[in-house]
Amino acid sequence: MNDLAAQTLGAQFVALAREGASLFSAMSRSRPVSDQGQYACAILDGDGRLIAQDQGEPSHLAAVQSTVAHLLDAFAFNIGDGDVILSGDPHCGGTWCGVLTLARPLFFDGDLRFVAALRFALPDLSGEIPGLFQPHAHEIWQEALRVTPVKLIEASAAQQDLRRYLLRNTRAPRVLDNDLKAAVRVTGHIGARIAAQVDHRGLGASTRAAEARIAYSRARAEAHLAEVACGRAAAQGIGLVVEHDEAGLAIDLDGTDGISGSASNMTLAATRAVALSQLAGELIEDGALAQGLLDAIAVRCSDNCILAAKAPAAVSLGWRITAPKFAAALAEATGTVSLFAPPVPLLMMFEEIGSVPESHPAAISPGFVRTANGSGSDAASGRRRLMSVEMTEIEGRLSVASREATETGMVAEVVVMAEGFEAITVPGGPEPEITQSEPLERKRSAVLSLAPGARIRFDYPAIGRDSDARV
Amino acid sequence: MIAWNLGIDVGGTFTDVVLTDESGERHTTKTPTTLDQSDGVLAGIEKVAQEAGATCDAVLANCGVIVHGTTVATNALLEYRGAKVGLLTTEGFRDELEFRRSYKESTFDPRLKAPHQICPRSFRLGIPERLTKTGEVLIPLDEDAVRNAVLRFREAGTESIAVCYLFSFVDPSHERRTSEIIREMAPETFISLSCDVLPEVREYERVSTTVVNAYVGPLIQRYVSHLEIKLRDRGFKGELFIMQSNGGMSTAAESGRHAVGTLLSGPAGGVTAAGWLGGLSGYKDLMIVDMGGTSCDIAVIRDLAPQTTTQSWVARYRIALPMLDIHTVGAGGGSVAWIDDGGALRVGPESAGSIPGPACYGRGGTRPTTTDANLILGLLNADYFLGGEMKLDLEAARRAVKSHVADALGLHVEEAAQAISEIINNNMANASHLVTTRRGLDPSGLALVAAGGAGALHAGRQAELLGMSTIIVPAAAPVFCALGDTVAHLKVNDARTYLTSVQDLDLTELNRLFAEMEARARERLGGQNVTSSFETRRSLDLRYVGEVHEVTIPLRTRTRRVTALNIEATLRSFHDAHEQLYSHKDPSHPVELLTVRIEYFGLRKAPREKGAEFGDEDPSQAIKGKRAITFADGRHETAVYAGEALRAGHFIHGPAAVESWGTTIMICPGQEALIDAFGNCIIENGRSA
Repeated sequence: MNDLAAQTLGAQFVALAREGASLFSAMSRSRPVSDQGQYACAILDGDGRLIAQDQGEPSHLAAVQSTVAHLLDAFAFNIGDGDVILSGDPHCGGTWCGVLTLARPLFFDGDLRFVAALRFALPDLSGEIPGLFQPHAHEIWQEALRVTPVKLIEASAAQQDLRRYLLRNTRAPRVLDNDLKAAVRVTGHIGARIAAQVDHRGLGASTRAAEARIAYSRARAEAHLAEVACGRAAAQGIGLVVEHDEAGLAIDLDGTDGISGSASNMTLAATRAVALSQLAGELIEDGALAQGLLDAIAVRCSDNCILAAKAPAAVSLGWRITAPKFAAALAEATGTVSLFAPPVPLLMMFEEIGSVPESHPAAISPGFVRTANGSGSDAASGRRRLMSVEMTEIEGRLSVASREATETGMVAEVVVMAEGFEAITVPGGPEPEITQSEPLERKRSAVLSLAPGARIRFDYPAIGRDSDARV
Repeated sequence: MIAWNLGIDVGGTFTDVVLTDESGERHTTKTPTTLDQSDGVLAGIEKVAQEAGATCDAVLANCGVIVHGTTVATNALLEYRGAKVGLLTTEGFRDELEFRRSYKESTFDPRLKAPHQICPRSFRLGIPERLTKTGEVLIPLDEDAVRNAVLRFREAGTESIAVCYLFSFVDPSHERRTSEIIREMAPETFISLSCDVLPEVREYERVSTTVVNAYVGPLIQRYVSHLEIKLRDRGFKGELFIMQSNGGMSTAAESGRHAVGTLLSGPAGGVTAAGWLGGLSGYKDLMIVDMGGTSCDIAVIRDLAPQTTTQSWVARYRIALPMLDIHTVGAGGGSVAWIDDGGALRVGPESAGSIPGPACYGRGGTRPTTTDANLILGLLNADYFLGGEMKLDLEAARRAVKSHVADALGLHVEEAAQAISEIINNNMANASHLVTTRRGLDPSGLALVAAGGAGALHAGRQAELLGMSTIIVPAAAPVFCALGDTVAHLKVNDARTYLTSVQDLDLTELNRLFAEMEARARERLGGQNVTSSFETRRSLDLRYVGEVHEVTIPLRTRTRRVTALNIEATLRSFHDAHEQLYSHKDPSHPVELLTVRIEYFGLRKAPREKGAEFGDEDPSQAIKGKRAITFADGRHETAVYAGEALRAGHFIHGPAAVESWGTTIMICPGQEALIDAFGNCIIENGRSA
């Protein structure tokens, strides 16, 4: 096999990861997946090295590989054909609670050669407050269920006890059940396609193609990162130095704050995702995300760093609050533009706690921070879709009263239509402004009781943007 | 007296014309596309008439139907040369068009510019009015505000006004009253109401489609009227139809009102032709791959029905009308080969276009393209490009491939050309796989229809890569879209959002909606002179409660009135379709209805096809020479056949090449080809790569 054959087979891995992501996003019933693009699909080799990946938003850039590496490590001597393994622990390669990574090991000639993986966010996975944001958490255990590496399917037999356990630990069991099935099916589809490729081209050709893709991503990363300007920055608790090293680029976080007692910590996988977005976004968009690129950006920090928090640190607000600060510092150090906007006003709305057996918590933010050239939202928003005014009203919880551009950005106002809803305002960004005829009661720490007719105003700043001669 | 029919497709470079008569006789030609497309159309008719031994005036005088695929709307949108549009929206929502539901074409590109505003903010005005989701009036229409807005638009010189109010698909009365006011104050203005263009839920999709309709509408109206006058001046007494993005044709008047429906007018002809060809050749499930100079269009046909989508984007604007689902990949004859900074060979998406074009065109191009690689590999004949009308410069191709690819990769020129060819084939195969997988299909179950100038060169290898057994290269491949124009039916789509759980479905209301839509569609269809046979296809957009994506399911009914049993049968189809698309179904899960749809057809009599008698299998008399051609498995001394000398029944073993004007067919080693009764080349492929 020559390099060309490796390249064309490698391109098939990329196409397959895209196909898997596209299929899963269509099959999922989870709003974080369908509305916010919180999913990724990847193919890895038997050693857990990333061959190809496609994702709906950038928080997953490093987390799929690091989680699968943890999974393979956890089951090192107990993994076989027909297994499907699962993890949802921010401190085992993940980013925050409520995001699961499902991996299907693929065996050929008796050896583990490839892994098909899907990572996806759920609307809820228990925790004090419905949804995935826990504003007052100090420890990971307050945030959600930590799903440590487990086998969802063993030797092709579904582990019903585990499934039941998971479904009892979410407020949205039907969504979780559907999405687990969807992920199992999509990874099965990818497995079948890789098996067909191996059948046609031979195992040697496929494994060499995987190696070639990793080497290719390494070569592209080296060429690209060599052009990145080095420098240092210190602001908002983030102190860092970006410098070239033998592997590519190193980010030294020595001047960064230590772990926060709040939920604004970030795991290393989340921090690496910001660095990858900020420093190699265009390579990722061009299909060059593979192990070679992951290995080319090193993050050095102490065990106590807010950007590489370890258990039991709470992390549910890290991506929202700390990631934009880290991106801004990286941008300053490298003389580029930050791809992450400051946090938007955000409300987590849910059925009154304790009132219903099944709840559908929803993140409400009817607008977005527009990028400097007005082309849409920031990179962190990925494939997020702005809520449709009409569909929102039809669903019955809210009506959008207005949503327009302003001199300073965008303003949207929504009205609560139904009884029995509560909410929290998610810290970090500007607070949504709530007005209602009844007193705005704060129950159970930060939980607000919303009355029908309550008006909620969301104000979004513009970043580096002309007012566009607003008329 | 011969009664003629004309199909005319205007492409970027050529205007293709197909002239048929009642006996099935067909004449085809190509003529250069002109700035004023109607000039090229007339020139094409002139030329094809000569080929038929008639005059242009005589053909037009006896021509009952002209179906025209035009790029006027597409070009106006792509080049942002449309009408000056004013937009009226519900107060508080005038920026939805610009917000685009925060959609971005690139996640990470900080330099990505916002799309050109075809309706800038100063031309978007909010009107106090608001309906609820059930159609109750929350805020009455402020007619004075409408009048003031129209005055302002008139002063600003708008030619066209789009109106899109929230929930107008539930009750269009506010939009209709607004239209009356505009008509009173500015009778010459083109009006585009969202309740007419796209009466469906989701305001961004609706406003974008409605504004694009307003943007291209006046141009289409002017063009069609201008063309019609020219045709009438030359004696045309028949009816002019315009090819629609949904694969059907519509009257000139309807095309003007619903101009947004002509955005895929050109490529739609090719897909329609493929469906017709599949029926003729006995293949119901097809994938059409139309490879031209800059890109490759891929579409799927199932059970002879071209698949449609409501998810299209054109020039960065969302078009939510049902359009043929044509997936475009940046892979064409002019796609440029280059080495990226990781040392990998890439082909496309940048294209050398026709000027300067591939290096071998000798028009100043120096960068290597797919066509250069094909020439080096022997797939193309330097002396027989466009039937010999254009000579290709092999040495220029070799220089380009050597300096930009071979030297950089340490390969021989032939190896580099082979690599370029393999990359482009793989790019197309990967895209084709995605197109089929999204529909829950396996490409190996489809027959591949190869169209476009470069389609038949690559189809053999495509079939190997996708594991497809059959390739159909149409006899009319060089004018395939125009052929589609001659076989298209009249077609109107209509839809209404009707939100309800299927369990609570009110059959009386559903039947009332269908009856209303059918009556409206009949009115819009027109063309009663060319058809007296009508067909309605009804469908429902269904989804499991909680899902975001709906699936369009044909309604299973044989009667006009939909019954509970019909709904049950349709639900079963939904579960099965869901399983095919998404690998699972859940018959116990509640299902909800979002939109009811109809496709209303005015059926035209199928053109008579003259099938030839099968003759001798031996095609050796058509061999015009031999040359070395490099296929994926290596170099082969290959027989080259003259396409015009092949006859029905001729059987060709690969490797072989068939050269005709405008297209070269590659039959790969191991493949077998048969010329069918209609001159199509049917290739059987037994290999997969």
